[in-house]
Amino acid sequence: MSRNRRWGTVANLEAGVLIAVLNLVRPGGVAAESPTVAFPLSRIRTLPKEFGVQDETRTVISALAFNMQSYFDYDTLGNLARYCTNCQSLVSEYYATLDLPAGAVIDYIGVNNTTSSDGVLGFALYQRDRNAAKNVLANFSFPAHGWDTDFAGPLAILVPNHSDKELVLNVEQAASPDFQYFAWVEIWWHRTVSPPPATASFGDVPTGHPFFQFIEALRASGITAGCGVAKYCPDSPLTRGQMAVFLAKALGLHYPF
Amino acid sequence: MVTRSGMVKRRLLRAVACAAVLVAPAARFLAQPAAASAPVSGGTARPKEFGLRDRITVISATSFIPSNRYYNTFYYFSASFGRFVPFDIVDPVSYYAALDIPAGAIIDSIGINSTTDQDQVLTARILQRDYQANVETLASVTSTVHGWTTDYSDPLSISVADQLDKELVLQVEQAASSNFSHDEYFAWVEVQWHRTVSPPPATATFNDVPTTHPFFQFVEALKASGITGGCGVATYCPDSPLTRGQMAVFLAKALGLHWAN
Repeated sequence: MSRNRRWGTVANLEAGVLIAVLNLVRPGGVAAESPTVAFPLSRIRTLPKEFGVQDETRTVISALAFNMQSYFDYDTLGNLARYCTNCQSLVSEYYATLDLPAGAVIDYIGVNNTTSSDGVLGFALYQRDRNAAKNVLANFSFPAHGWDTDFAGPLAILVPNHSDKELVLNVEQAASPDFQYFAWVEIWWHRTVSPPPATASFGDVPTGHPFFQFIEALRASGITAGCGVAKYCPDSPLTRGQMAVFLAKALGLHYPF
Repeated sequence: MVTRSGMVKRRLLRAVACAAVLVAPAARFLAQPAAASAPVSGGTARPKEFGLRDRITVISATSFIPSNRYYNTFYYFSASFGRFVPFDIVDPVSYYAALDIPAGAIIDSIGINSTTDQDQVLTARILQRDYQANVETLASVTSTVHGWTTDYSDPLSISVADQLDKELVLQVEQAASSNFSHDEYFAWVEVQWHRTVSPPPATATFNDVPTTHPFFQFVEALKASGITGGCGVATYCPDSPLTRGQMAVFLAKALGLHWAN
């Protein structure tokens, strides 16, 4: 432990320079699987802000919530982080659930970690379908540094319809004589409005209407049925009473019994 | 009841099984049942997620904790990609995970993605536990013999009660199995649900929105959630036109628009 801490201090001092150099010399990334997220991994200090339910949402999965694949002697916590205690010759894998809604767009993925040499810790985001086929949505490996967060992005990964699929986070440690820790994974994402359908539901909101996409989204989600038979009345003024219906349905306002 | 000799036998078997798993995982994966010729269910016209209203919560098998710590580490991703019990078992083994769904939600379906080679070996359940440890099964789905696919139980119409002093727990139970070559894996459990608007209260808050008003239920929901206080003393002005300025207040409060400094 003390050995690791000493090393961490030195690496912290050099981390900035190291990352800058890596960004220049390894633009294509190092991971073998594709599609590979392009470097640079960097300590982004201008991340978007969290904002309500629509704009950037930061989902943080602690290393505590990651499970290990197989072998018994990897399940140890150090520095409030996951690490492998016996990984001289074995690869260790850590997995966690990522539960995002369909239509979400993942913008950044960050992993807080400390690594003693390049590429020992790697990250992957998988989508697994019902027939056990897995699709790699993102993957990257980390440069050496003391405790810090590596970010990949902007990514623009669209989460498709979620039924009958799952998203799984993976942190992999390659065989190494040194301790490699990670503390958490953070996912920055935002919701999007569905793209417009091919045909119109309301006669007074044709496909060419400037609000067509949004009105169709309200209808498909059950928030509105329109103002009559196959009509939405897009130019009618809204009363406060009508808006109460829109909002209560949209938000699913349900207070305790 | 498990006899002492039975325990010894099981531990021996565990040791053998551990060694087998550690040295020859590839051989185990080859022994998996073939993909089913016809899916049991799912995969065709599943419901969609939609904004805040319609949601599908998917909990990966890796987030489930087994009731028996011997089975804790057996989650394979790269090859078989799921949870499994690696030994013959005398008693059923269960895996548990938290399920966090808001009060007032309606649960529409539960599904489990799995591969099984014995009938009715894997059962997923939604349990509700109250503060006095009373456990109630709200829904369940049992897999049939097949390769990897998802089994659903739907349509359900389960109202999630006020969550105060209660919890929801997902359970996946694997039945006892007497043959080491049997592999029952599960990859995830998914729960589809949607939010609802509270039923109308008995009395009206605003004089101009009485209990018989067509929008009574919805206006009361906005009031109860703190999004609006009305337009004056005990009035809501339901027929007044909405200005863009008023709508900004409603939306910002409703969506909790709070940006960091």
